Order: sequence, then structure tokens, then C-alpha cells
Amino acid sequence: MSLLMNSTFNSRNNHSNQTKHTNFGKVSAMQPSALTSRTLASKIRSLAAFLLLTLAFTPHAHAEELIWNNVVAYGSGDGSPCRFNPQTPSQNNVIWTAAGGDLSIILTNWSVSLPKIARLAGGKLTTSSICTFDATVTIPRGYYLKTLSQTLVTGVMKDKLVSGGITSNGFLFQTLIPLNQINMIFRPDQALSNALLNVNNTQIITQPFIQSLCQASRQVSFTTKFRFQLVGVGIRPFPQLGLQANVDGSDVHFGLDSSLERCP
Amino acid sequence: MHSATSIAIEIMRAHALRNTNQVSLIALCALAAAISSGAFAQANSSNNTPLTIKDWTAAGSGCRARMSQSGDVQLTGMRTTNTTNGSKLVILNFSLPNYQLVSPPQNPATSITFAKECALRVVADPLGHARIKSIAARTPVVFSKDEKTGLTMQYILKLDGHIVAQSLSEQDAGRAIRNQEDKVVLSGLPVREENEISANSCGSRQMLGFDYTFIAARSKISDSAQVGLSENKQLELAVELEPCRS
Repeated sequence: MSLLMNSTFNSRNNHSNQTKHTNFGKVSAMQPSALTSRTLASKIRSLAAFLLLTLAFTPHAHAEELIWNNVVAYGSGDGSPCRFNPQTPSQNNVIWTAAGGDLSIILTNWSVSLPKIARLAGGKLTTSSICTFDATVTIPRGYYLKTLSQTLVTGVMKDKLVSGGITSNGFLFQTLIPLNQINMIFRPDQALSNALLNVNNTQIITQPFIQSLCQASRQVSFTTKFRFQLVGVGIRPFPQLGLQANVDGSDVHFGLDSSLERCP
Repeated sequence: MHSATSIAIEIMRAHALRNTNQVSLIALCALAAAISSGAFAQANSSNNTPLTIKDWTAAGSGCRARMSQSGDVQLTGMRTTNTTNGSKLVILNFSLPNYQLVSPPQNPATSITFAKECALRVVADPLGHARIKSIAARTPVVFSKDEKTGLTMQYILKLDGHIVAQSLSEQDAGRAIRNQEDKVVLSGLPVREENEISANSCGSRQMLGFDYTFIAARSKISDSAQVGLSENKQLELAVELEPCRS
């Protein structure tokens, strides 16, 4: 509140300064002999700079953007399930934000642990949790997607001889654009006490899809899906083995940056 | 001292210390010119902001709020200053009074290693034919820990899904720390592709992000650790906007 008041105060100062300047200009205009050609040129330059700046920052239509709609997220498997349902916001532990081609998904309280929740498979204890994120994406007519960049960041704690990982599979526009799979692997050869892991991947969209988008007669909407899977694997003779992915209280951050280009 | 000035000065310090932030000298020179000319100190705040906030979200194990839904994070201020190089600086102030990592009382259910995170996402429209030239963030933190506790504090600044700057502070076990203060300053430039057409970067919707991660690794459940924001418990996000030339 005080900052807002401070802004208002500064704004008033601004207005006051402008008023003084205007008055000075009027006085000058009534005494043309006092104006040299040098000051006149200076004023013209100032006026031109002001006009250019004003033009640069005047309201202007925004570029066309992707629109994200009908978002839901749901979980399956072991561990704490993920959930996003606009009808029950208090129970959501998936938070998403989109700005055109940029999508941010934050999975809070989404984790698996060994050996608390585990099944025996092939002589090993395994646990996994899957989080599926669905949305409808609309791309404006006359535009196509050029590149996609994915980022996955999380914290991990695990004992030695426990392996696991997080994978991300995604499709944009149903199955037309399979996203590169992201694999964040927790290797069994070392313990991780509070590791912060970060994986990036960028891919270029194939030409046939660009052509089909650019030849569409109207804007196109498709279902889009991201599937995150968290897996932990431990060896049975070591009951104390533990994997906590992510670190208790740490979140999984997924980011998608898609650059939109105008069709040629 | 004007807040924008202090941000910019600290940005300069941060850049002087780190060469790995992928920050061009051009933007630094622009900021330096603005500082040396006194533009920030004498800047006139304006309500005619060149940036419209469309939405913001704060989410994580340590915070939860959004623009349309009150919570424990608030957008407390937004102001604009002009710089002498023709760009405008918009400064957003977020208050996070409750975000902290505190070792809980002796509770067997609590993990030895635990974390508290808060991720902020801001969706903003640059008005007019303008685009983001650079971004910066400043947040003061204070932390304490017992001798046998390790602390990890990570800060990530994002723009349009890209990590444009990050800082990692690791306080290993071995010595106790009491109320150590740290002013975190990050700054970065947009990731632009070669031959990118202006429609992608000019006047288009942008997503700013700032992620806090505090992790405590204790040796036993009674060990303590504490990290929180200090001073006014605020995060300042500065967005420098420049007019598009095309």
C-alpha cells in the first residue's frame, strides 16, 4: 500500500515538473528574440524524441498466441496422486500457468518413496506414480510452431543402490507432434542427499506439420497431453534403502516454451 | 536510495562477479548509463505502465496464491521509470511474508532432509510495440543452521520457459550459522533465436518466473535449520522494456 502511495506521490511530482516546463515554454514563446537557432533545434530534437517514444509505447495489437483451455490433471499408481480440477481448487496440487506458447506446470506434493510404498517385481522393489496433464490448445490461423523447448527441474534424495527417475512424454495436437521424451535418471551408484536436477530439451517441428497448419482454412484446436512418471527401484535385501523423489517438500517444475511463427 | 537504482547497482555488482550469466555487455552498458545519468534516481514514476499483468501464480510447498485467489503471496506494488536510453523499467513488488523453511519440532514423521519451495509465475503483456530487453530480480534472505546441518538455497530467474539466470548457495555441514543475511540479485536477457521475427518478441505475451528452493539436510531430527526472506520479505522483479525497431 505504501508503495502504491509512493507511486502516486511520484506521479504528482512528475505532473508538477511538467507544469513548470510548460510554463517556461510559454514565457519563451512570448520572447522569440531570446530563442537562438541552437535552442530551437534542441527543442525540435526533444519533441521528436518524445513523439518517437510515445509512438513506441502506445497500445498496439498483440501477436497471435496459443490458447490453453480445458485443463485437467490426474494421477495413478503409487505415492501421492496429482490432481487439477477447476471445480475443486482446494484439492489441487498441480498448478499451471500459460502465456501463449509458454506453459509452466508445477507438481507439488507429488512423490514416491522406498520402501514405504513398493511392490516386488523381478526381485526388486519398485514404486511409481504417474501424473497426466490434459489441455486443449488452439493455434491461430496463419501461424505454426517452429521449436519446442522443455525443462524439468526437481530435487531428489536417495540412497545408494536405489535407482529411478522421472520421465516426461508429451504430445501436442493429439499425436501429431510427439515431444522428445525427457529422462531424468537417478543412478544407483551414488547416494543423493539433496540433489537439484535439471534437464532441458529443444526440438524443431517437422516440415509436414508446419505445412498442414499453414494450409488450414481456420484456426486449429487439438488435445494435448503430458505424462509424467516417477519411478523408484530398490534391491530387496536392503530394507533400509530409501528413495524420496522428490525431496520432501520439493516440487517438480515442468516448462514448455514453443515459438510461434507466422506462415510464409 | 531509489529502489530501482539499488536494484541496478546490485545487478552491476552481480554481473561483475559472475561471467556465466549469459548477459551481454550491451544491456549492462545501458543499465550503467541509466545509473550514471541519474535517470533512476530522478525517475518519475508513472501509472501509465507499459506492462499489463494478466495473471500471476505463486505455488509450491511453501506458498500458494494467485491473482484471482488470495493466499500467502501478494502483489504489493508496481511502478514504472523511464531510462535515458529510451527503455522503460517496470518494477513489480511481491510480498512473501510467510514463505520460510523452518526445521519442525521433533516429529518422527518429518524427513531428515526436507525442502520448501515457492515458484512465482507472472503473465504480462508489454503494451505497444515493445519487448523485454532484460529482467532482474532482487530478494533478501536470512538463514541459520546447526553445525551438522547442510543448507541448499537455489534461485532461478525464468523468462518464457527459459532459465535466464540462477544462483546456488550451498552451506555444507561443519559449522553453525546464525542469522546470516544475503541479498540475492539475478539478471538475464531473453533467449532469442537467430532470425526471430518481431512478432515473436514484440508486443507478445510473456511469462516471467522466479523459483525459490530451500533444502535442509540434517543428520538427525533434532537438528535445526531456518531460511526465510528478510527485511520487508519482498521479491522485486524488474522488467526493462524497449521499443521495437521493426
